[in-house]
Amino acid sequence: MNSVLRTIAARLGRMPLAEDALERRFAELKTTATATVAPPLADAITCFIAEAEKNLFEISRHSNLETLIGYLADSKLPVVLAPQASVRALNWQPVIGRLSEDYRAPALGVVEAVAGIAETGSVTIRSTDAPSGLLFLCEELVVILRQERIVALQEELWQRLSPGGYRALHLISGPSRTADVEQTLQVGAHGPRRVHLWLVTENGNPAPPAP
Amino acid sequence: MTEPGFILRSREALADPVLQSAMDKARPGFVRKRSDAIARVANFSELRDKAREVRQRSLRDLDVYLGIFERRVTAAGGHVHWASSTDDLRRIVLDIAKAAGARTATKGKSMIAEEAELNQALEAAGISPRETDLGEYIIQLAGEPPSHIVAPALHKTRPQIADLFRTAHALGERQLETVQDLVDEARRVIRSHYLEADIGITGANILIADTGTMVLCTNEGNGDLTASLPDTHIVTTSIDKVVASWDDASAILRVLARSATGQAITTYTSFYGPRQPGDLDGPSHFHVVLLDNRRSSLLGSEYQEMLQCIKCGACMNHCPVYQAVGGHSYDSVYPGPMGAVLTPLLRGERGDYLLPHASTFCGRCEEVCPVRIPLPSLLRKLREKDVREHHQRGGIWLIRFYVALARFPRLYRVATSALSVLSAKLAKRGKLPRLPGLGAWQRKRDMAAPQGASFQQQWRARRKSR
Repeated sequence: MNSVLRTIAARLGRMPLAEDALERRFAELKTTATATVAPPLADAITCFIAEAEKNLFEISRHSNLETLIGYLADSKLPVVLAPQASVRALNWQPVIGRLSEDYRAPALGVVEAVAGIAETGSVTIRSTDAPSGLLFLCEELVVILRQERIVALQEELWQRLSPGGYRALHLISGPSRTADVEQTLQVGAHGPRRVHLWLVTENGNPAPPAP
Repeated sequence: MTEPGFILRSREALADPVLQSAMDKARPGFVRKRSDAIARVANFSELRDKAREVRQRSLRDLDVYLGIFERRVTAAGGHVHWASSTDDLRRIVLDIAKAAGARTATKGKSMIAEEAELNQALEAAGISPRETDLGEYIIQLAGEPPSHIVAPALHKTRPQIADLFRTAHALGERQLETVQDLVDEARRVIRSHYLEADIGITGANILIADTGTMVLCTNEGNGDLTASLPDTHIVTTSIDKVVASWDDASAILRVLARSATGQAITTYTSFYGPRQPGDLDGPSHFHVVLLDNRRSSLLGSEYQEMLQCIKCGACMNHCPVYQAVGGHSYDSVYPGPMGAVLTPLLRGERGDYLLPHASTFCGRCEEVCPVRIPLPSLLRKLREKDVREHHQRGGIWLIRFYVALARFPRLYRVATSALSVLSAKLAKRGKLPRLPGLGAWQRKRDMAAPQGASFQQQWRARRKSR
């Protein structure tokens, strides 16, 4: 047992617990957790889009992913795809000459998010979905998000995703930015200068308007 | 008392036109952005109550949560190190860096690394620390400590930053006219640092016991590049950062960015642990160094609530004293109201006890604190402790005299009306001349002369006239 933990326990008036006793106490304490308090949200999809716009995502809505290839064909950057089956399965023929695996050089990254979070207009990507390096080194990032994967609150996501099995879970809320020079907001600090949110609606219709 | 450091430094700060222009630019933005952000959330007050409850619950059983955190990190293949002092922290980080054969280290913003002066230790060991947060990079070039816990280069103006870059970078044809120029220049230089670094050192905003996870909040993405590209990731953080669960972390995230920069969430909010078999990249080695440095001595004390702090910076953004004198006047990595409480408690040098006196007790800090730390009352307790233990502040005799007098109402009335008559005689153009024992107080202030009858006299007169 280390001395820092012993000191802390002593300040709290007890001996430090080891292994089984520690686990039992932690399990007990977990039952004392209080209910979630979250900002009140209207419809999750409407709220997601409003918040994502505030976060400076460039948002477009599509009924399928065919339009994405056309969009990428207009760019000049090398395209680095996340190794996700859903991304790789698309017909990349029109941009085949620009596909690259080198995300350390300036590139346009394409990744599919595992979820969107309405309360903050964020998308979620794990280190098993795409290399973290790709998400933060690319000049421009296209994030595909299926509308049905939008949840209202973070807690819903923690319920859905099992917490183990990956190193990193990233909540991304727009392009990289800084306000460290005279508190002036400047986009494109170290990470992507642009993040395009490719929102795929189930039936091809745009999201319903606010109630 | 020996050198009254804060007084000297703040006097210089007030007379520094460049610093004052930088502070003038920063001040309104922080306040407006926070108030806009919370106006968009109908129940922000409830979010604060929840965040406070989470922090208090975590401190109540801190030993359990830290013990579980260590077990979970270890089970996932990482390492947890315990640093009783900043000496310990430096030694632990250097040992890891040497074992990794490191020559260069990228660094995300870490107040704990600042507290431990880790950069100096790395340099002395032949390892080049390279700050990646733009603000930290600027102050590293300037050879200065941070002046704000969220915006470390708040005190620097655009021309000053351009000068620093001109000296440090081989600029060639590149311009440094606009904010965009400066950010692009830093991006270009720091990008190569990311790709070369042997180790990455970051702080942590939250630790989650349940899964041995650490949470990192940045807007630039620099923390994530630092945590993800090198083969070793070292997290320098403190024992008070742990919470029980991911749900608890969410409660803190809901108030953190709104209070700090007026965002609903920071652009990048990442949850990290040791690398797993299915991961597509990431360091092979994951170390968390937990610093105590006298924080544990606050547990169970009348100062425990200070450990609830989530380091958002709202208290200093709203503090009239910090806003006037800037962060460097505090001579501590923790400035403003939270620093005026933490510095005497963690460092405890004699001069640090001057900081709790640098408050108007206006109460704005407590009003805006997302976890409702009663900062003015902690400052007051520290003033009492200072007087109890050091007995040397000027003006104490005056307060003692006042206290003695106030115990006897009749005597008080006679004495005050006598004083009032006397001072009216002494006054010139409504102001009192310099009085003995009030030197420091009167140096920067006019003491107004009493204008006729006292409050009590007026009150009695008014009651009679009804």
